[in-house]
Amino acid sequence: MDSDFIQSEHVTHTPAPAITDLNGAYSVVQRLRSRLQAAVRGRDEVIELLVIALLADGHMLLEDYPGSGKTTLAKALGDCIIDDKPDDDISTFRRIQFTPDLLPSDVTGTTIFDPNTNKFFFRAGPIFAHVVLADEINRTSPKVQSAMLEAMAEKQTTIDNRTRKLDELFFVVATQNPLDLAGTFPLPSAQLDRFLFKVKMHHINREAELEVLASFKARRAGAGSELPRVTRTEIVDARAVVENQIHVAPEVRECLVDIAGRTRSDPRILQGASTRSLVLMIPALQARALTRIRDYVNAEDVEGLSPFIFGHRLELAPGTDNVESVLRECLSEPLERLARSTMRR
Amino acid sequence: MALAAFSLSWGVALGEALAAAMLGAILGVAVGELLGRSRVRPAVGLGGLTLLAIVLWRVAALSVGTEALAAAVGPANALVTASVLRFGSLSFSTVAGLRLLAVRRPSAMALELGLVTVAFTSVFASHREGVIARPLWLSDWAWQQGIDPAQALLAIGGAAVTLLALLLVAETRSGRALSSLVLLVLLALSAVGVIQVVGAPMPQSMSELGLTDAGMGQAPRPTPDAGGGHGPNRGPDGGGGGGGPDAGDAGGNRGGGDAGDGGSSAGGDASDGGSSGGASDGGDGGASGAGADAGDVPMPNLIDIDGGGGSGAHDGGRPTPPSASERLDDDQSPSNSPTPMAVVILDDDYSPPSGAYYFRQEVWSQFGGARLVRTTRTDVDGDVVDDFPAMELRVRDQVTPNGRARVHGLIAVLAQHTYPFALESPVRYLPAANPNPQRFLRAWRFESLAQSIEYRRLTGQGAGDPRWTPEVRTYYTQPPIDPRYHELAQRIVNQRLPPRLRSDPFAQALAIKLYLDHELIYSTRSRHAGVPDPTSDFLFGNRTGYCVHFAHSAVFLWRSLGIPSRISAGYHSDESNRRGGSTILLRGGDAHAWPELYVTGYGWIVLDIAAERNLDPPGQGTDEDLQRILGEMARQQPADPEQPRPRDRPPQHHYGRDFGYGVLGLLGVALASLYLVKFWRRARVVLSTARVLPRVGYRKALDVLAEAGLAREYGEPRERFATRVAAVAPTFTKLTEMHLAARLGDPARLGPGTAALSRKQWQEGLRALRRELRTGTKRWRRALGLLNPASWLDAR
Repeated sequence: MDSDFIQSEHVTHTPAPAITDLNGAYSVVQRLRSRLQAAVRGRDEVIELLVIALLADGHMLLEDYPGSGKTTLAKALGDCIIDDKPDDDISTFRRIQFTPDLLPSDVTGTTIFDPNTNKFFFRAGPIFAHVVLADEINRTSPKVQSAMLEAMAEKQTTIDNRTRKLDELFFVVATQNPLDLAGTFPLPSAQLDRFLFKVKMHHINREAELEVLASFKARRAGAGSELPRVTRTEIVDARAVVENQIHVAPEVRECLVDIAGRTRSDPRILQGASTRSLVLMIPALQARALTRIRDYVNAEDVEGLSPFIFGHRLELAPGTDNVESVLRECLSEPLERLARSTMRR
Repeated sequence: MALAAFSLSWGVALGEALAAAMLGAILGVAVGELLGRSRVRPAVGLGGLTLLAIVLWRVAALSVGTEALAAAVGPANALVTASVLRFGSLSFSTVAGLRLLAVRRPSAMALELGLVTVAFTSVFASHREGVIARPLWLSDWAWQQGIDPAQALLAIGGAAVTLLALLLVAETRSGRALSSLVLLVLLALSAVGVIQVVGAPMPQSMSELGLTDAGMGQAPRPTPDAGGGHGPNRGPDGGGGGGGPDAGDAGGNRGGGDAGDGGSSAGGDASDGGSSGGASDGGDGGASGAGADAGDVPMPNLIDIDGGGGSGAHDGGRPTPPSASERLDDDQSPSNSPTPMAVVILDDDYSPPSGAYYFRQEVWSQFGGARLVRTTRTDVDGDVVDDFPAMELRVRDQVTPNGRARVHGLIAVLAQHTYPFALESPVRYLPAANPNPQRFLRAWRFESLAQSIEYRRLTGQGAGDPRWTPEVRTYYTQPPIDPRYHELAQRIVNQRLPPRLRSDPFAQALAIKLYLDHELIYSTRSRHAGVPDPTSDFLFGNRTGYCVHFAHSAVFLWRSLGIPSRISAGYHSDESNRRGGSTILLRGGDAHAWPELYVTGYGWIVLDIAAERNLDPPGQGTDEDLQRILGEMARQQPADPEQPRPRDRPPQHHYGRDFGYGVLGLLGVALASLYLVKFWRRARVVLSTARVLPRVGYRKALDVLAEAGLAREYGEPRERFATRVAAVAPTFTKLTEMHLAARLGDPARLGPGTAALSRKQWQEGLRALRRELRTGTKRWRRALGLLNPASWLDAR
């Protein structure tokens, strides 16, 4: 095998009580957050987004340099999750290192002939996991990318004409290197659209870096592993709670539509925000409201998440390169309208 | 900055130094900017710059103080080097220091702006008080281009205001631009309103400066009656009390040589300033052999004679204060000018023995070869003053009260006058408030000792003051060299006086007066212009002339007999013109010159010539209505309501003022409604129902914050604003949450018990917010916010 498969350990656990309310959902957020923050220093913003993406049932694309902690982050996320269905042959965390010669079957799995039983049996690929780290996703061929992306969009994969369901908690953290572009296959915008967030990670600040150096030994020894974890079921339940119990006011929905409209009419943007991005955004906003212990979505959520949701979906006209400033301009008027709407009778 | 340095050093520096000042300013901006960005502490930077300036200044002083440099490059170059160093270093250090401060502290930019403003306004400083003919460089240029300088100044002011407004608008963020423009329009409207109601600033009606053409050093002005561009000018009103500067009837114009032609040159001196081209001729001066001044303008005024003592001859001719005549009346014909010049109100009942009031403005006593002129000595004619009274002004030579009555009065002038005047023999002048600035130019009070003794009782007295020095007596008795005067005088005395009176000076004078009354013929047409000695031409010629000729003749004859005498000029008004009232209206035609002689013990006595024959048409009488109305105006009494208003001021509608009141009223209403809305929004919390509480309560919180200068920016979510404000007012975060939970949260979950609908919670929160703002913000800021009627407009 060319790919480098890392398999996380299976841990069995007693089933936790089901999550039915916002407090339960928030405890999930808290447990995830504290464990991740213990494992990765100086990345609180990314951790926040990761938790939001997980609860919003979206996927995440990290764009950063090698050695910036993305594998550690994804692995720590896998470690947070207790697989409470150990017999379904799905591990909590897998990593796929994408290379140009990778084949779709290396990702999805394949049927193998067993000479003992004279039968073909299905050998699941690394995609059958709760958390999948798709490392350097732009280095592989479009064929493999599309196999991966089908799985991401549909939560299923088709092998030998047989469609297999992936786990309900299927969460992909993909990475790509922003600089080393030689021999890469950049993701087309249609495929970028599958990712809920695209996050550009920056180098962590000095204090955080010092802290990383000071504590890396303790972390290698397993610091933070004593912190409470969450089960797969809890996450799935929390998703349901977020979807049903966090209120999205009509004004907020109007604001989203306004933003999309602005991005479409702005002459500096060739392709504005898609309707799908708005659909995906709602759960993300709700999840963010949950992380802020709020039972409604507000303007700050919209403002906070917009760069990560729209940033990779907008195609800028030639001559414009700063998507952030363009987006900020597109946001200001709808946000102002939203803010004023709260003072209306 | 460079321009500011330029305009500030314009008046004191020469070419090289100007360039150095500009260069220094440019360098100073650059260095100041660099210093500001570097880590140099402001105090150190400023100290260093000051030191540099001092060192360079010393070097400049050395370069002219020692001979080394002067020897090396020459004295002129050494001086230039010094001034270059001085101006360069001064402007460099000043500008660099200001720039440094401005970079470090944005508020210090005000200093820089102040410097630029001072530089700009210094250029137009002479325009203050609305003097539209200044600054000269601008008005000169404008006149040459055929532009009204007032319009040029208005354009400059407008451009400055527009530029400033644009700069301010550019400074503010996009959301404010439109509202700033609206505000600007409102400001402009209110300014218009204020001007319409209060009135535009009027220039001080000083005689020397201002709008009138009487100004000294005024630019040449094209006048409609001026034939050529250069020739006959309306000369400035000079010291001579002013001849009528009328180019039209001037016989031989010689405007080219007049003082007025020089544009900004100062007005002429006493004899030159009359500049009445009509009466004068270039040939005069040379022939008479007197000084250029005296000879140049032999007849200072076209002052017309008036039949003294109520004889038939009446006033003809032109107004004395010529500058005024142009202002008030375009009628400059040499005939009777009914233009009102001044109003005199007598406080005391006084009836002159001569039957006419004489208002003395100036005195001509110095013999100038052919005529009498204003004296150049300081020890004579001390009974007239040159300045308008700003405080009590006593005349130097007080007249003795013998045979005189003390008369007080008020004079309000309607035209420009060069010197004050008062009823003959004034003893003091007092300032007075202008009773009606729209009608009168100025006013003053006088106290005079007017002659009350009968003429006949003046005989038997000597002539002249025994206190006089021999020079003064000689001065007042100096006759022309022409022997004919003495012969004529002697003949008159011998023929007309009994022997016992032949040596009595007053009797001699009176005899000569009566002779002249009988012999002379009044006519303003006969000017005796173009001859070397107009008086002898008149007296020994056709004997037809007017008051100036009469007065000169009388004085010359008297002086030939050794009687001290002189000519006074001013106004003359028959007692009958009073119509029994106390108001005397002085008109242009009342301008007059008369002879006076000094009677020992009684002072200067007016002995006017009243010609029995008059060739001029009779003048029109005094306009009684006008006299009464102007008198009432000068007394500050309301006009009689039953009488029609003065003809020259028809009732007119002040649309501008109505508009002004309208605008101000509207602004007042707008202001009141703004305050009303402001306080209604405050009080609303107490009156509201729980359902609207989240909105009303939050609005109040926003209002309170806006008063303290904290406002949400455009596009800023409320939560972010709350986070921003939390440093000052942490409670606001909670209030924002309560508000948003009510407005954006699930309505189903919004029960009566929730915090967002609890009046107690809101009131406590708002109280806490106020408390926090009290400690967290500056007091003046809050006070300003409380006063600001539109603070709630910022609460979004």
